[in-house]
Amino acid sequence: MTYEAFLQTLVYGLQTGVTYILVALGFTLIFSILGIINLAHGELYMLGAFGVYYLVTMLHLNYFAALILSMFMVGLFGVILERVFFRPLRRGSDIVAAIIVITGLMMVIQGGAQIIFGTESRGMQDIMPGTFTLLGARISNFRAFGALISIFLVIGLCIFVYRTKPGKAMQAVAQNREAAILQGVEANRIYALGFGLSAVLAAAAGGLMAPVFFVDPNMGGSVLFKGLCIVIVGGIGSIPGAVLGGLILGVVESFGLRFLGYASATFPFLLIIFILLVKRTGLLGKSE
Amino acid sequence: MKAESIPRYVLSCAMIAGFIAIPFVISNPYYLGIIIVIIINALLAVSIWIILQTGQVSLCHVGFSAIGGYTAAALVMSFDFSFWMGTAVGIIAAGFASLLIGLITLRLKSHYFFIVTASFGEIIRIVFSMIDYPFGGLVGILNLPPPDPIAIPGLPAIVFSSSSSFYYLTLAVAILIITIIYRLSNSHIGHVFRAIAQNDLRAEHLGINIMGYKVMAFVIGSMFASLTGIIYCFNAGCMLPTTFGFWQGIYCLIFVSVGGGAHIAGPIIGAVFFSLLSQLLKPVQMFEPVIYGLALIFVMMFFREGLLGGILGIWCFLKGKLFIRQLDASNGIT
Repeated sequence: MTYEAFLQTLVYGLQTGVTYILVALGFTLIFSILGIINLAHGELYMLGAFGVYYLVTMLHLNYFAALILSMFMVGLFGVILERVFFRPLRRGSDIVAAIIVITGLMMVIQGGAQIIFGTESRGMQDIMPGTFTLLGARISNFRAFGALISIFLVIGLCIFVYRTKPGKAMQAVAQNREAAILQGVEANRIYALGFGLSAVLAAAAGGLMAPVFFVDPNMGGSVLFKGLCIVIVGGIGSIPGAVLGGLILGVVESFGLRFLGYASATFPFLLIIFILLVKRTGLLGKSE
Repeated sequence: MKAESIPRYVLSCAMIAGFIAIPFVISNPYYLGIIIVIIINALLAVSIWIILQTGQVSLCHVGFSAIGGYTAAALVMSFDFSFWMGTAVGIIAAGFASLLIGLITLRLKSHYFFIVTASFGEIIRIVFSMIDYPFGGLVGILNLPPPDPIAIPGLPAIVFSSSSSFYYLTLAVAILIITIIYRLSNSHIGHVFRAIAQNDLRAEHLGINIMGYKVMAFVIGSMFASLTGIIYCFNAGCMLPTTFGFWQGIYCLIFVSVGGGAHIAGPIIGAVFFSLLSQLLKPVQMFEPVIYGLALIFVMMFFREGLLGGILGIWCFLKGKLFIRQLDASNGIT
């Protein structure tokens, strides 16, 4: 393998990884605050992508305005979902019941999207055509831009969670719900906020991927397992873990696809099994 | 035999007689095929139910169906095994695979176990779709023959070429699996399973080898799942890599939860209910996922104990009313 090819594969992996991080962060947020595996998270990603697609192609909005509007709408949708479906679930600790209600929700969102948007895949015009070369690796303008926005969002989330009052309340609820409530944290508000934020991040990832990949109602499924894998590898509830996990998965997949082809589809699952058996708390998760 | 258990035997015998009579009433192979699929779904649900009794939510359940189905189908098609030998080897292969995976994964609990088994299920699916010989790669194994005839000396040979004869084979397997699992869940072992699910630490302190019992439930459930997978693929006549994926595993959980996990009748009711629902929704295929999803949400939000729990609740409510009315009558209140 030449140096150029190596670099190209690496850069491609990092670019993809950065977008995975956004999905995984939303996933880990819900997992650590609500204790639920949100199988419908991929659907929020899909809705974000469709939001951007329709706002740009039908209303002829500017891409950035469309992205922000789409994130806002999906975030609102997430808050509504939390209030109607997830809040009643949390009281029972029955994991199967939670999984099934979320599966039902997924079917409704995905099936609804198929009815409203149609089942065909659509492509979107490239927003920033052209490429540039960095240290011998060719990078498309838009993917570089998308990676920058993702990094910006991750930093924003870090500041929110670690530096602001609602963010600290969120951490408190994730650590110990009863103790947080005794300290005067309104847990229900935190749940709504966490879910909304998670939906916003998923929508941002979908919106950033819309001009790169095809948009179709089934696109959420493939992201789901990637998000799950990153969360497990990095450690549940850990923001730096999700960042590290996302980059690892992106690079591993990129090299796997180049050398092994289809067999690399097993990599996320092998990573999950390996991490869960060796260090259950993930690479950067706190020990239990 | 206790006096109160006699009606139960009569009821079971009547139900079996009713199922035996079905091909005489419904001769259309299409409808018979649907009934076979419903029975298969019920068997998948019952076999995951015994694993759920120990409190472990396995998502590679249908992965073992895939191992069984693929092994049997490949042996029959590429190595000239008879259906019965292929089935035996398929079940044993799935048993060993489940023993191995169980020993590795059953240390993990709740969400972690769920995620790790989901990963194993996906790996099984991808690996089978990668191997071209003898598993047919992404195409799968097509044109499976019907099961070989059974020749009993002095009697005409039993052939399985018609759909009604395949129905009887499925029914025989169903009676076998349901009886074994029902017996198991009512035995000492079944009580131990539920004790582990309720509080594994307490069970361990009582001297129960919880890992051993968990592995046992996992292997038994998975072997029955593999038998069901073999029946499924020989009924369909093909084994496709898409047949047993992540969502089929979720469907098994749906059958159990929607039916109600308290009794073995729950998973069967859930499987029949949702299989019939998806058959009824065939004409409006586009709306199927939406209606199906709404039904799931509705049942799980309002009947936490499943349909069985709902039925029993209504029954107890009516019975209670009746009881109160009798009480009132005996007290002279009208």
